[in-house]
Amino acid sequence: MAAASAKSTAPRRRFKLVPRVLEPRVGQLRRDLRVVLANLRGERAPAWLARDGSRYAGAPAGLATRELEISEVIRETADAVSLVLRDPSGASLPPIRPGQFFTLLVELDGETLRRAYSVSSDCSIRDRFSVTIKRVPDGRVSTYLNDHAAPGMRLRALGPSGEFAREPARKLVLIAGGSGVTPMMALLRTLLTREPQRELALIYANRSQADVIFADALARLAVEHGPRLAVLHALEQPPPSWSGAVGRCTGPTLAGMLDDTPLASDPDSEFLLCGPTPMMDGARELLGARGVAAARIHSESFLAPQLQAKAAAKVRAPQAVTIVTAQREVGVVVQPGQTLLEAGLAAGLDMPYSCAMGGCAACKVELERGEVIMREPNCLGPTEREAGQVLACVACPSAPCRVRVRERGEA
Amino acid sequence: MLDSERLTNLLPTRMRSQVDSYFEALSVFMEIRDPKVLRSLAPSGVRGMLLQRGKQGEPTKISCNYEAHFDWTYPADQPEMAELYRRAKQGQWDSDSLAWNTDVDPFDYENPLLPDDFLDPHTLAAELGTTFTNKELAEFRFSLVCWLLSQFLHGEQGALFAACQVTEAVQFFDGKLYGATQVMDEGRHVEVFNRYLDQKLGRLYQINDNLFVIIDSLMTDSRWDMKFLGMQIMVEGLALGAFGVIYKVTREPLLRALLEMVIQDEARHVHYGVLALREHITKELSERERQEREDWAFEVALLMRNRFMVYEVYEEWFEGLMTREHWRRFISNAPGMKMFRQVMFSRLVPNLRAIGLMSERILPYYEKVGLLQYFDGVAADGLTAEQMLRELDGAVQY
Repeated sequence: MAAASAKSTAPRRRFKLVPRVLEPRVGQLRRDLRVVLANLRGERAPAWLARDGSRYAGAPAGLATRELEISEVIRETADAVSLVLRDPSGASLPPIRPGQFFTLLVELDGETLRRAYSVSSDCSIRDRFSVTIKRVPDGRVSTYLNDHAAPGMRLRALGPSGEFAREPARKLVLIAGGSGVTPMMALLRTLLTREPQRELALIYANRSQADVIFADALARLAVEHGPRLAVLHALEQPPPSWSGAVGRCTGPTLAGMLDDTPLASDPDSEFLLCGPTPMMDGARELLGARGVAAARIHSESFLAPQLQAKAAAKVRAPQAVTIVTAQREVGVVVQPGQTLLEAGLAAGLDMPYSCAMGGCAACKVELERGEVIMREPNCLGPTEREAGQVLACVACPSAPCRVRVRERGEA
Repeated sequence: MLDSERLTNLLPTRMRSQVDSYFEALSVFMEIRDPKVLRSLAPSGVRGMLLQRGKQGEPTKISCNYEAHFDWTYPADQPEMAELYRRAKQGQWDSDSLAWNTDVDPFDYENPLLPDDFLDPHTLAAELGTTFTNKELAEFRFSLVCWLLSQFLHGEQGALFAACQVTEAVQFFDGKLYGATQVMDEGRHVEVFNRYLDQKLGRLYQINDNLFVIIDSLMTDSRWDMKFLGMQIMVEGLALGAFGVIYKVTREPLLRALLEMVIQDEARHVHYGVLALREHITKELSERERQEREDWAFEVALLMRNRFMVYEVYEEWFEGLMTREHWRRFISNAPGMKMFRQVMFSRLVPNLRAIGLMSERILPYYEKVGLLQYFDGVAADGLTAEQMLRELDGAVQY
């Protein structure tokens, strides 16, 4: 098919009927004719175009972002950097739990892009922390930060956010793939040094040895904390002298590694998963088959939620939304391109939120009436969806709505 | 007007509506008396009304041919324009300082963007033997507001480019400096209307054919004073009329604040037009040339009076339910449109008089179309922006 069409256009390219200088005129003539004919047939172009407000969205209104300064850039691998961040004035930062993440707001080409990055440093240090960013193919923010982050550069951020590893059991098996190791690293660094009773195992899968982030730091930790920490690596493309596991971290490879980890068969240990979705799904299935209750498995995934193209067409008009809080009921208008959360905050409402990108559920509200479309994927589970809950930070109303904000502390 | 209805009766409704619009356009041009004016407007008319160059869904290319006027001696030639330049510099404002965080609810009944009876839809419903639900009325009004503001935006794009051309072509050096501030002003106006439509209303209508004809005509005319007359006097007058009416009737605070700032800029622009053209028309032009401009201004005034019929909204809502002719009658008699004509011509006619385009020979024609009642008003060079805003707030009857 492709070959045939190439053949047929080739001679036309050589003997062009219309000299190049006249091309614009001929194009215009063709458009003119098309318009007149369409008009006579009673066909018209739509009288108006929908605008989504994104052009002037700029800084999301009302989100209380924090400015952070890069104090150091550590090259971890060819495709990953750790940024050490601190408050520009040197003030101490809010308490961070290992496993939490920050949302970085990066302005590129006039657009403010939000990305979530897990803290990878020891969280008992209060005046700075680090996030580790692996370059994602075609990822604008990760590529930009890998190539251009430098000490002194400032970034706006939201967070810390997230409930991952909120109350970790004493014995933990961590299963990480690729950059999913970042929250695990914070857990190891924080828990091993502060809590001598902890026992941890890390199962860590990568494509090749060059992709292993924190290889040296992990080796050091394993030596320092001896029997309390076991680190098992798996590589898809191992070097010749490799002694660890081989293959993708699912099915038999993972099963073999779990067999090699005494903690994995301890009925008191919990499992924390972070990595690519297929890997986490595979691990969850395997653990279930080995008799691990779902309540002992926790996972974290990183998402860049977006409106699906089909859904986006439905949120092209401003919508009236009533937001009910414990204190009052306020009517706001949510503009196209705005989220429930942004509209509520802009109206001065005290709405809870944290990451503002669908990753932490801090902004969960109850949809009492109306319809919203959420940017997907996000962290809202199927039972929450059925119960009529929505994430205000990714919800765009497609009809007039009434939503109720949870009171602080309400589950 | 041709009896197009009899001719097109047999065609399917939509086609009939289109053919009717061609006849209507044709009749406008057949009524132009001066062949020179016809020659200058007709090509733009074909491009705008027949070929709909502004609605082809692609950027429009308009060829321009005029001379840039350089003066390497930088004369201080027009003290009044120098004064205007000084005031314009001081009058610059930052569009970011408007309250963009205002929630705009186009369907709010307490602070409506436009009053319900701006177009008198109940009379229309009665004529059509139907009624509109409140929801339909609100959506109809939303269409109308978006249409109006979209036309403001398109007009400001024309004004931006025309201001650039005029700055290059004008022969007064003080005028060029002033012109630079006007370019900045128009850029800001494009920004605020675009931002309002983009962020608050979420809808942009296509350019109206008649507005396209006027913009096309003055962009392509090679004579600087025609550009000037078209832009600074006619289109700015049209803008002042339209902005003034919306400023007066809207209850939406952000739009009102935005229009107040824009009107203050526009008042300076018209003032500049009066200064530059009075000098040129009374001293430089021959009587024949003056007459041609006088006729041109009259025809464009008619075009502005008769032809802003909100057809895009008609096509969206009522095509097939009523004829274009019926819609024309409805729009011409709508209270909001009457007020718009009143504000526009009470500004425009005194300005035409001030620049010398209201001689005895043309007065009967203005008389005939009912525009002479505005003859004795104050021209832009004797009027401040504050006075204009005060008048809008008070005296104009709605």
